Order: sequence, then C-alpha cells, then structure tokens
Amino acid sequence: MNFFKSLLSNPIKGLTFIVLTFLFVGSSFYGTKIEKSLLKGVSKMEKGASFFALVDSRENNQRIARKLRDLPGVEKVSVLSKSDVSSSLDNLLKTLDVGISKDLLDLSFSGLQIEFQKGLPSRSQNLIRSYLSRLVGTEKLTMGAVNKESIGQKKKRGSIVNFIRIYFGPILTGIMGFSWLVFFLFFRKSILRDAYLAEQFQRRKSVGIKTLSVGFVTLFSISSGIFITLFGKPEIVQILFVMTVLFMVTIVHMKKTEWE
Amino acid sequence: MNFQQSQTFTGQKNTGVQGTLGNNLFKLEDVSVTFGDIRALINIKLSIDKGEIVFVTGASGAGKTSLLGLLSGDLKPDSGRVSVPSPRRCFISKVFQDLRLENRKTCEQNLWAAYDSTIYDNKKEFKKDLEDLAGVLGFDNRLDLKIKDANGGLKQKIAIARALLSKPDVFIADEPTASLDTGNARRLFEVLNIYNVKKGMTVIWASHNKELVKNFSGRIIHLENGKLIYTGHACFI
Repeated sequence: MNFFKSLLSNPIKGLTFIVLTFLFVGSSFYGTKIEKSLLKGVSKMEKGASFFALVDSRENNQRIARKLRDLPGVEKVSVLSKSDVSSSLDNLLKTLDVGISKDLLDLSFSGLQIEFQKGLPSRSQNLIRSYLSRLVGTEKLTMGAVNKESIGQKKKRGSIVNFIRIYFGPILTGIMGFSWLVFFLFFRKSILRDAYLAEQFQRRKSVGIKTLSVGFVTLFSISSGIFITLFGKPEIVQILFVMTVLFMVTIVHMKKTEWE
Repeated sequence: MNFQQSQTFTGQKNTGVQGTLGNNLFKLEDVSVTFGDIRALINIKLSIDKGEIVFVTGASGAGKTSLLGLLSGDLKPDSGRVSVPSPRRCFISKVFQDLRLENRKTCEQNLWAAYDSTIYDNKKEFKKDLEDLAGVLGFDNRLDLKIKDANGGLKQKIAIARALLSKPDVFIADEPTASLDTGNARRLFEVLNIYNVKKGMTVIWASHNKELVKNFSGRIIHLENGKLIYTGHACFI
C-alpha cells in the first residue's frame, strides 16, 4: 500500500509510471511479435514489376481486367477510368508546356495498370503482354514499358528489414526500460524515506525491500495478466527477463534504507 | 521488559563474546572511534542502566554524536567492545541533529510516521496520544502547518514528539533543545521525565549546553576531544 501511496502522492507522474510499467512489460513480452508484424508490413511494401496499357474506350476494360487477373503470374490489375487518364494527360501537357490543347488529341481510351507477381521471369511477363495484345488487338492498345523495382529501392528495403531484425527488439525494450527506470527514480526517494521512517519509528524491519517487492509484484501481475489475456502467452525467457529487471532494481535500491 | 539479551559490537583490536549486561543497558569497554586521522572517541569506558536519564555534554567536536551513534547501533567501533540491547527486545527512538522531517507534509502527517499497529490498539488511540503530547509541548494549534513553513523550535518539537509517540524503551536525542528557549527546554525535560518515571524510558540526551543540563536531574557524561572527562550526577559538575 505504501508503494501506491507514494505513487499517488504525485498523480500525474504516478500514473505515467504505471503506464510505463505496462509498456515495459508489454514490449518485453511481445517485442518479437511486434517485430514480426513489422517485417510482414515491410515485405508488403515490396512490389512486383508492372506496366500501363491504354485501351480503346469502346472495349470492355472490366472484362479485360478480369481475364488478366485469372492469369498465373498477375498480382493485381487496376482499371483507370477515362477521366483519370484524361486528367493525368492534361497535367502532363501543362507541365510540358508544348502548346497542344487536350481537345486536339484523341482521348477515347481508358487505362489499365497490370502488376506482376514478385520475381516473375521476363519470359512470363512477355507472355502476359502478348496475351493482352491478342485479347484487345494491337490497333486498340498501347502498352508502356515494364517498370522494374530499382536496385536502390531493393537495397533500402533490405536495410530496413535487417535493421528491424537486429535492433528493433532491443531498442524498443531498451527505450521502455530506460523511461521506466527514470520515472522510478522520481519515486525512489519518497519510497525510501517512508520506509526509513517506518523502520526508525515503528517496530518494523526491511520495510523498503518489502514495499518495493509488493509494489512491483502487484504491477507485474496486473500488467502481465492483462497482456496474456489479450495477446496470449509470451515466451518464458521474456517473462524471466522482466522479473530479473524488477528483482535487480529492488535489490540495488533497497539494500539499506537511508535518509537522503 | 527484559534487556538481558544483548548484542555486542567489537572493534578490530579486541574480540568479545555476546554476554549479559546485568542492569546495564549499554556497556562500552575501551572503545575508540576514528574517522580518517580524526580520533572521535578515545578509550571510552562507560555503562548506562535501564531507566537512567543521561546527559552527554561537551563542546562541538567532543565526540557526542559519535557516542550516540555507538549507542544506537548506527556506528561500529574501531577498537573496544560495545554492548547494546537487542533491537527485538528494546526499541530505540532517535532524534537526529538534522531532525529528518518531511518538509512537504504537515506536522501531524510527520507524527503519523510513528503509528505502529503493534503498539497501539487503533488509530484513535494514537490520535489521542498525539493530541495530548502536542498539547503538553505547546504545538496543538499548529498541527496542520507544513514543516517547510514551521520555525526551528516547532520542527524540533515535532521530531521529539514523533520519537516519543513510538513509545520507545530508549530515547536518544542529539541536541534536542538547540532551537528551543530555556522555558521550552525545561518543558521538554519535564515531559521526558514523566516518560522516564511512568514508563521506565531510558533517556540519553546530548547537549553542548552544560549550564542548561545542570538544572535537570540526571547523570552527566562529559566529553572533551573524544575523551571521557567526567561522569556523575549533574548537580556535582
């Protein structure tokens, strides 16, 4: 009780400390899980090669898109409406400032963006492009070049993945642990003083270590109980890690209670 | 109360075994304490009986605080043997020179640090004792005052009251009247005398003011430069 009395003597800092304890326990328990979901997110950023195609607007582009989607090796087909294509072209002409009015151009076509699956060989890509030509007819179709992901982008993504894999877990736990420790130091003095006075003027022994142990065990039990209910059981090593940190902090700070 | 079981602290030069103290509550045999090159206490031999009132006098730096440290068990001797009662059987309350009060708390909140459910039946009983003592020491109308706003005299009274409310077997105070005038010091002594007579509390009181303690009944232990110069009744000094 003395532990929580000391925490609530400064409610804002006290509640922040409680929240930080929860975050520290959570990040230690589920650091690996968070890391894995982040890596999943990064791998989703990886895109296969793609190309654009302009199709005569009299053709049923929805049907073409559906047929393309059925092909093996096609990841995604996006249909760009006539107005989308028209406004893009308008912007392009304005930027180039070539003095050609949009009205002079024949804009009776719609667009398709075809994205290949990751790592699809060029031969298969060419087969898909040939299929599209045959399906629509060459006179009604204009295809752009295949856009491949640049080596720079690949390297960048690779380094993000490596960084997350090596450093994310320790950095997250380190930051949470450090913030938790800093806030604990705010209360250390007040807890120590109360413990010291109890030992001096009441017939009680080892009040400091008991106060801190009861406080930490309560906070740890509540936070881990909530986390395990919500997110499942963490690995035993992660539970042991948090328990060791709390135990060490208790021992280091409460070896001997003194008036500071 | 049984003070027969005691604990003994020995210095490096002498070894001793735990023994009984008889009627002696504290016993110091050839005790010396040094801090670096400074010899705080030199070959002190003395004993203090249960229920005694003892004044430790001497100028600043004479070794009073070191002697109180030995008696309260906070300090260990470099040589000689110190026998003090077991903390399980004899509770010692101290009034420190720096008082050790919590500035952000009120006088009353500081006094509640002495509330121990093993010696008080309930909080009501403690509250009654607290109010009685505050009335006797003359600060009952300032219980809600924060320590940071209190004057030196009031702080000293609060520190003394806190120690007394813990119902100690031994009361040790280091210069408890430093910020009190003669009238207040006399009133305090009367309170300690009542605790001594009615509850058998042993009082050990350090003061640099030899003239003040001469007015009170009790034994004087006079120190000079770490040496015990005189021990005897205050009226003979």
